[in-house]
Formats: sequence, structure tokens, C-alpha cells
Amino acid sequence: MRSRTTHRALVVAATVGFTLVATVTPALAREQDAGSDPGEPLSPLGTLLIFGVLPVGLFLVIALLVSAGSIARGTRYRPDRVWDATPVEFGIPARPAPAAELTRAAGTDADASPAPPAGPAGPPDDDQSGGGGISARW
Amino acid sequence: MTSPVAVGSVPAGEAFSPAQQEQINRAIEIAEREGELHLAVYVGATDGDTRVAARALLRQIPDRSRAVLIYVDPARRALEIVTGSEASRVLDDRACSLAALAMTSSFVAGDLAGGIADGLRLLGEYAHRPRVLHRDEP
Repeated sequence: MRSRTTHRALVVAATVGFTLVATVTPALAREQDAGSDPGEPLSPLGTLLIFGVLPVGLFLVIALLVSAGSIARGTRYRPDRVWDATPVEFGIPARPAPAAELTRAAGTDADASPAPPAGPAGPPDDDQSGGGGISARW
Repeated sequence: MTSPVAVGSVPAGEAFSPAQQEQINRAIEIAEREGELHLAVYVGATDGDTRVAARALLRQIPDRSRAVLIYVDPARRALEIVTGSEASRVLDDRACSLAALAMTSSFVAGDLAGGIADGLRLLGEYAHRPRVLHRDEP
């Protein structure tokens, strides 16, 4: 495995080196060939425009196009930002204090549930109610 | 199977745009359409252990034995999928893990609502499968 990796690295290095050496000669030319017409040199402003402003502008346009979808959708969650939005519930009946009651209800309501060990798929880490479930992080 | 709880009965805060809430509500509706499960979603911060909080919240759902709760804590990047005793027979932990994997990969990309909708869809599809196999093809 290692020898194959080394072989690949050697082939790539040799190819790149050979190509460089083979194609570098025109760049080293110090005098114009007969009949060559290099034309007018670029002004500093033109150089800046072609090699600076245009690429940056193109970059900005593409970035805008890429993020336009999420901007229009209005996604407000970012994994690296603080989450301080109010809790949202779907399919859960309204009750007085959503978050504060949770830990207290965990102790009292567990005894009240009938909870026969019905489910064959009950995981060992589950509490008394005989259900299932998993935990994940991102 | 109609759920006794109105879906989205608690008004959502600034966490989701109306379109995203509609997306999640529709995913719940589709996932509950044929199965005998009741799907619920909670998105919000937790004070203590997310597992305990998710279990406690599951007990607040009226038909909790057939309920599946997707509990998302974006502040701690924690996801819990807890199932009631009846629901855990239809949705084993392997199915929940697959849904969790799909959801967390969307969450990492910042798509909270899309990930929740994907997870609901996967759970609903998995819940429908054994019913069809055993009843429609004896």
C-alpha cells in the first residue's frame, strides 16, 4: 500500500517537474522574436480593473447567487451561534410553563404511569415508562 | 388516524418563519396520515439533561404510549427522539437512529426546519412499512 502511494507521488512529481522544465523556456526569453507584436502595455488602472476588480466582482456575484436561496428562505439558525429563541412546539398540548415544569414532572409523573414492560424493544437506558429512544449530537 | 391534539397549537416564536412552520406541520400531518403514531416536535433550550427533559415532555402528551417526540435543543446541539411503549414497537431504535442521522446532518448545515421535516418523513415512512407488510400481504 505504501509503495503504491510512493509510486504515485513520484509519478506526479516527475510529471510536474518535466512539464515545468519543458514549458519554462518561453518565459525566460529576454528578447522579442522577429515579427512579434506585444502591443500597448496595460495602464495601472486597467491592470487593477482586469486583475482586481473583475475577479472580486465575479466572486461577489457568485456568492450572492449561492446564498440567495437561504436569504429568501430566512433560515435563522447557525450551528455556531447562540440560540435564544423561544421554544417552539408542534403537536404538544399547551400547558402553563413549558420548560420549567419539565424536570419536576419527571419525578412525579413517573410513578403514575401504568407502564407494563410491554415493548420488546425497550432499551436499557430508558426510565420506567417502557418506551424507546435515542440521543444524538451535532 | 386523527390526533386529539391540534398540530402547532402553541404559537411559535422567532425560531421559524411561517413557511418553515408550515413545512414542519405538513411533515407531521403526512407522517401521521396512515400510521397509528402521534408525532410531536419540540425545539428549544433545556436547563437540565435533555434526555430527562424529553422523557418528561413525552409524558405530557395525552396518548403518550403511541407518541414519538423529536426533541431538539439547538443551544446544546442535542437531539433526542423518544418513543412511547406502543410506538417503540413500530419505531425501533435503529429507525430512530437513522432519522437522527439524517436530521443532524441537516442541522450541521444550519437547516433546522428542513432537518426536522426530513426526520419526520423518515419516521413516518418507517412506521408505515410493517403495517403494510403484515396486513396487506398475509
